[in-house]
Amino acid sequence: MTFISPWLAVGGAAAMALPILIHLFLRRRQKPIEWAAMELLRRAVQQSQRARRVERWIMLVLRCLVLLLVGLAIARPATVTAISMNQPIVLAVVLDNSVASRAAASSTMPGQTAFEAARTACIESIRALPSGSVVHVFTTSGKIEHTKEAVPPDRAVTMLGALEPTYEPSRVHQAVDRADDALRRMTMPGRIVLASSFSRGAIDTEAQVLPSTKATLEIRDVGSDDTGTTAIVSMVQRTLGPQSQGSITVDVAVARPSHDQVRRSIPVTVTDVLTDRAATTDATFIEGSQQAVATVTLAVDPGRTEHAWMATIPSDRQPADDLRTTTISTVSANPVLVVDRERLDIDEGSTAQWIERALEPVAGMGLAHRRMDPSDVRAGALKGSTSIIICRPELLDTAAWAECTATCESGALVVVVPPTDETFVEWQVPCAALLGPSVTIRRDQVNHDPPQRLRPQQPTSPITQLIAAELTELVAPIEVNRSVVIEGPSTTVSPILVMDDGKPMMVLATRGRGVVMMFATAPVPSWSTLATKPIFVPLIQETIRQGEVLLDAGSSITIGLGRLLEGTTELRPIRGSTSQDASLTIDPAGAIVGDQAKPGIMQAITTQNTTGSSRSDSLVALNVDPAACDPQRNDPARLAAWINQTVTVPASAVTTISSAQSSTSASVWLLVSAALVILAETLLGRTFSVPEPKTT
Amino acid sequence: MATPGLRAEQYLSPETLAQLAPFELRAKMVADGVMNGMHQSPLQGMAVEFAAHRQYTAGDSIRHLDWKVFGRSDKLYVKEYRQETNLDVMILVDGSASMSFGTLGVKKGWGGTDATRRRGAWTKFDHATASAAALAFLCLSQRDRVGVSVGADGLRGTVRKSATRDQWRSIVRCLSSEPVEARFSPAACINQLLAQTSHRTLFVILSDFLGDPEGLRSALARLRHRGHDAMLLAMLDHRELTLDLDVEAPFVGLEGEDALDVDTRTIRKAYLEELQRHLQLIDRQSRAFGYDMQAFDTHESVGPVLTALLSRREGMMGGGLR
Repeated sequence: MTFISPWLAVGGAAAMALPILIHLFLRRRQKPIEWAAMELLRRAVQQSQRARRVERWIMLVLRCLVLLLVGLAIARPATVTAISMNQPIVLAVVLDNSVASRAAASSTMPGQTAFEAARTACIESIRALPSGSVVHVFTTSGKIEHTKEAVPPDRAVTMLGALEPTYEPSRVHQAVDRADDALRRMTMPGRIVLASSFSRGAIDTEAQVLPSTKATLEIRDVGSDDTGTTAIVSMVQRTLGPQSQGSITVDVAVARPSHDQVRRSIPVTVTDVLTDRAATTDATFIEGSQQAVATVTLAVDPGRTEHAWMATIPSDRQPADDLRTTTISTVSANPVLVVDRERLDIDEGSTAQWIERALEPVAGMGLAHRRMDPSDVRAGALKGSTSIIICRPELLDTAAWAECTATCESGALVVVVPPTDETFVEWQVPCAALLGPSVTIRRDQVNHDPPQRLRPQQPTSPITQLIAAELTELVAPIEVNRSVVIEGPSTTVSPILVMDDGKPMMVLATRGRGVVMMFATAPVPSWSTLATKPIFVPLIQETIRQGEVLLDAGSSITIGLGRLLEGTTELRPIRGSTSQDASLTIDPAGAIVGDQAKPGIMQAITTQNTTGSSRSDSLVALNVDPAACDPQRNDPARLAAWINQTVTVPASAVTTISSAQSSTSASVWLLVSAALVILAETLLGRTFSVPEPKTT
Repeated sequence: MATPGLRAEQYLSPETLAQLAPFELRAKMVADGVMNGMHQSPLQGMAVEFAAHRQYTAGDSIRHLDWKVFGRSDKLYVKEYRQETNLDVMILVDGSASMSFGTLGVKKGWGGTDATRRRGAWTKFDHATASAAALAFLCLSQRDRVGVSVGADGLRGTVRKSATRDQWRSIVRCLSSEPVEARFSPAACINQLLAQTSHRTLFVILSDFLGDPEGLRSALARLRHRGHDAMLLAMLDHRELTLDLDVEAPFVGLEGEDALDVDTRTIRKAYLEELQRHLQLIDRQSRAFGYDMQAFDTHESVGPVLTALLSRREGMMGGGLR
């Protein structure tokens, strides 16, 4: 007879002292009470004290007994089942092949994953079996039961060698249950071997309860005792507009769990997952710091419109570390819509002509564009468009403005250029409404004589960030002869370019998920020299590129740590697809519906609320359940409680747990006894109790 | 000396007065009175109120023969008359240390004594003095002569019997100024009071009577021997009557008794039995001498209990005795 949790038995015995200590404590705390009828009291004490003393002893013993019995019951007394070393047995091997087992194993098994170490431990147990023994193989994830019948040890070893870790969470409870069921069907004595890393991902000690087994349970712990797991915590793309530069710069932040006083460098690799092009830079933790940043520059193809980069650190013990943190950047492949009427302006060329010329000046760097007549701008006409340049706002009617507003709010870039022709149409009102509340555009144009120039020091803006270094030189030759006045609060519209008189020449406003930009002057010679100066081409192209980057700012996703893009309804695998890969549905809360999938790069399909249309505008790196991947060691005390309350599980050690079945029944009997004692104590307490006082 | 801030009126609330007003304090025994009052006098034949006829016996004065009856029946009957006199009342309040026990919180306007202020509670002494003041007020309103004494191991303060207008204030002043200390010796106090008493007097003794019953019996015997009437009003705190405490603690006597470790839960039953036995013994002793005894719970109002006592006395006297 022993106890599975002997310390609890000792605790129960120690708890016996509680009633006595409480009694002494309360007795010491009582202050003397003044009393008048002392003689009556003295006589009463003489009468009753002796009898009551015996009763109190009985009650004290009963109360102590209750505590002792409860302590013994919790301690789970058990009889160790002795199995002869030479007696053939049935061994049920439960191998942890969950996604968490992809993490590194204990430092005593360098270079191995937890799965490999656990498999080795299982094979060791099988090889140590006496002859005549048979083996059942179970895994905690995927297909649990791998052998319908017990198989010879050699065959079991072969089966184990063929197993691979999965990307699924651990279901250790079901696996042990199945193993116990299998052993019950056998006549030979049985034993269960559970080999796992016992990380938080493998064993959720709060949600899962180790089932009671009739068989002896053998724990093989192959988990890493290294809790200093370093992880990628964020990845930020520093350089915007990568297409024009041919490279991107990414800041990858890595963190270690403690403020080690150790200087340590970790190589951080950023890979373009679509081209497998990679670059590596060291992130260096200085002494006492918990976080370090590596700045990695990676060449990219200029012509590509979809990009996805992932960061990896080789020392990361995350089981799915290569996909732990991925930032997605997207540029739409949709052509730019230029809203203007087809016409030939012999004098100076139309606004649309100047802009279209700016969109396609250099081979390989141009942006596709399409002309649309203003009368064609109707409900649904702009569906799927990402960038729209309105060159003839005076030709848009109310429905057309509504369509522009809806498209913009659903995530599009709208650029408005003032009309160059004289018009009596009040286009200013709907255009100002598109820019935002409290924004006004003066009805009358302003003629500048002499022409206005642009300020040498222009405000910082993401649109001009790429040309910021040359901006002073680029804006110097521009002369503005005519302009409209755009006024609005700085919280709504922010200036991109400003004229000498302080009036904006170009403004930016956000509208829902979209962006609106407006020029105060038209790029035609009668209005300004803008179209004929070197700034025009980069300005128009950056307006489109960086504007779309702004649109996609919300779609930079940190997988495993953040949420999916709002509006994402489906994920379609685009890389590493196998026959098992399939589209995944996303619920409105942003969670994946159904089973977890294998990690991979997916297209995020977004449904626009306003138009009901779907489009793919971002890439998503899909990770498996981060909780299932958690490689952190379970808290030893909690793990011990989970296993059987007292057992500590050293790495690579074998711990034999006595039969849980017998201990449970003994505990039940002890608890029943405790309940009976409580009942007896209650009944005796009533018998001994003094009736309620009556008024004389 | 009256304690500053105390007013005599605080001793007698309007409620108490209203409850006592319909009753008159009557001596169960015939009292000697020196003034015309409402109490029977032992002196017959001198008054106007006819009492009874009785047969003539040799030696009776023929002045009281009822000649009309003799003329009709040829038998000799003597007329007897009853004279109403004033009552002398002496109130003795136990001022021993045990009377300073109390557990009822004091409310504003209740008045109180030295014991109240020391304990911050309505003590048995407070209840006794309030009852004494009520009784004195009642007697004085009947034009009876009333006096009061506060005693412990001997008489400590005394206001001699009088029926004057200022008497009640003197009584209240005496009650409120005397300290509570020492042990109560009823025999010693009664002896001293008897030495000052010439007329038949109704002695009202207010005490917790927790002392030696033998001493009380001896005192009552002396009162009976002298032909006085007596009322025993036992003042007991509610907690003394119920022991409604669930503690295990040392209990210390107020009159210097040794500390006693007591678990009230274990001895409550025995204590209540002892208390019942003790009160019954006091009651038996007082009845043996023809006196009344009434227990008061200090957590209850003075008025209803006094009313019940006086009502009982009036009932016991009956119309036939008048």
